Amino acid sequence: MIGKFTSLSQDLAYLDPGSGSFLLQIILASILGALFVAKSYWNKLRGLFHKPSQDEEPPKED
Amino acid sequence: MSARPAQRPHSPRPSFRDPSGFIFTRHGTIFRQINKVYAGEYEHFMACGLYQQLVQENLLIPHHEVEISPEQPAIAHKIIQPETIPFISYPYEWCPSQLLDAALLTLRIQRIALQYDMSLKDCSAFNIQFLHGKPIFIDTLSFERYREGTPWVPYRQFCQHFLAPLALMHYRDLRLGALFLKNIDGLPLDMVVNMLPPRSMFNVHLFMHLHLHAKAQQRTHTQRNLVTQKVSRSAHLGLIDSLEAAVKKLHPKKIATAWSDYYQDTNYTPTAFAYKKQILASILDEVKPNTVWDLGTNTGEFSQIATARQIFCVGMDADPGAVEIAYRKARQRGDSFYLPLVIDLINPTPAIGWNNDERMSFVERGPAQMVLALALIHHLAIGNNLPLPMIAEFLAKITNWLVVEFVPKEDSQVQRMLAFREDIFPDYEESAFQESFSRYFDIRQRFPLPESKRSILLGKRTI
Repeated sequence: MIGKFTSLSQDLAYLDPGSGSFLLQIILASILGALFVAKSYWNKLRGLFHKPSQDEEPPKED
Repeated sequence: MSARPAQRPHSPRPSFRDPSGFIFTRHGTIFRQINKVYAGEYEHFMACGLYQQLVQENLLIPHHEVEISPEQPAIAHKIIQPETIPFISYPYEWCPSQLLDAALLTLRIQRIALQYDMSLKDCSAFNIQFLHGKPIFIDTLSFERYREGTPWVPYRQFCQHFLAPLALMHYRDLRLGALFLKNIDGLPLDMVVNMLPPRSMFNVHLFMHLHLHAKAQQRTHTQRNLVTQKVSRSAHLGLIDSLEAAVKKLHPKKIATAWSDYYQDTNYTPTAFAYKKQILASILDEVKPNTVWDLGTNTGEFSQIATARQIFCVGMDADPGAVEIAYRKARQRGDSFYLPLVIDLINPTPAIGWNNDERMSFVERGPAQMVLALALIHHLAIGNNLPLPMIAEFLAKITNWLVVEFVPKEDSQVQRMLAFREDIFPDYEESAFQESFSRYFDIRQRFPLPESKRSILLGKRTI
């Protein structure tokens, strides 16, 4: 289990993630990740049935 | 008595916490040393195409590698010279929209980095500066190779540096951005949630990243093996999406500013106002400064005369509402020469951080080539009881050229300031004003404003 985090113990990760923040992120990320995947599939599914209109295009950064 | 600021023996060292490298100044030029420990990541960053894309999209400061002797040769890999930022500003000097744009830039960079299998290893708001009117990421050494499954280490930092101050400014008061000054690593989340209204919890993203986050921080976890789950790439992207949604909802709603009606509420006639602009234009055309500081910039009405001439202008105002409007207007007209900032001249930004040496004071970032002090002196002298000689001394410390407006006591604005207080300013008149300023400046020209008792003086510093 510890082995999973060897990369974090390297010198480059100089920032302290904070133990509470670290654990919370793992919990939140699993929920948000599931939503992200669901959203991606939903967008793909929608894409199959209709072409995106112009106002659905991603906003261009200025 | 010297009016010049004390020179520091070295540049401020904001980058000492990161072992990857550090900034140093040599003969007035800023360089960044890349240490051997970061060599692999840096070379990967440059070779994988991420650097090129970020620079192409004006998201990251461009740099070139230089062959000069390293500052610390024993640990040096390479030296790079980044493009120069004309004026270093700090998050506690930004209006809400500037901080919001900086937050969105950070998340956009993280998203692009993941496409190249890299990730930001820190998320400090101090990694952002403003260049050509837009935020730009300046820490070239903030990237590391993404390791599948690892959580995003700077998540906490992002919440403290961006989400927390943005939420306070959105829900409570624009002036709360100044809390950053006291908390150099961002605002403590427990403090922030105590200040936020309960309705902020109805924003699901804020509920997670601020309210729950503050609770989670209250417990100290010492056993790393409590962590049993990985953070997958899609989970990572979901987190970034959620943070972005949180940030986008934090635009300031109402901007109440003490100065928004300022130009409608003066006792100038349109002729005097137009003439004042003409005078400024002719001075700028004659002196041709590269940089101008507009003190009391308000919404940037006079700064625009400089920026229209492609002169870089830092506008400073104590009122974050005015700066917010100035920034939005500048973005709207695509003004790439204007940088409005929240800086209070009565209490200018101090140097902060370790050894008072991490972030520069306002005065250390000067002197400017030219300062505009238009309709300002009466606020300092009458509004804040500052003696005229002290005002002159301060201005001589921060500029070579000075364009200053004298607003006499007969002016209705000064009359209003004196309406409910004792007039303890017997020396506040133009001859004393000129005498004070002549100690430090050679008064080159005096322009009386028509249909007004005000006058504008052009001076060049002599000391």
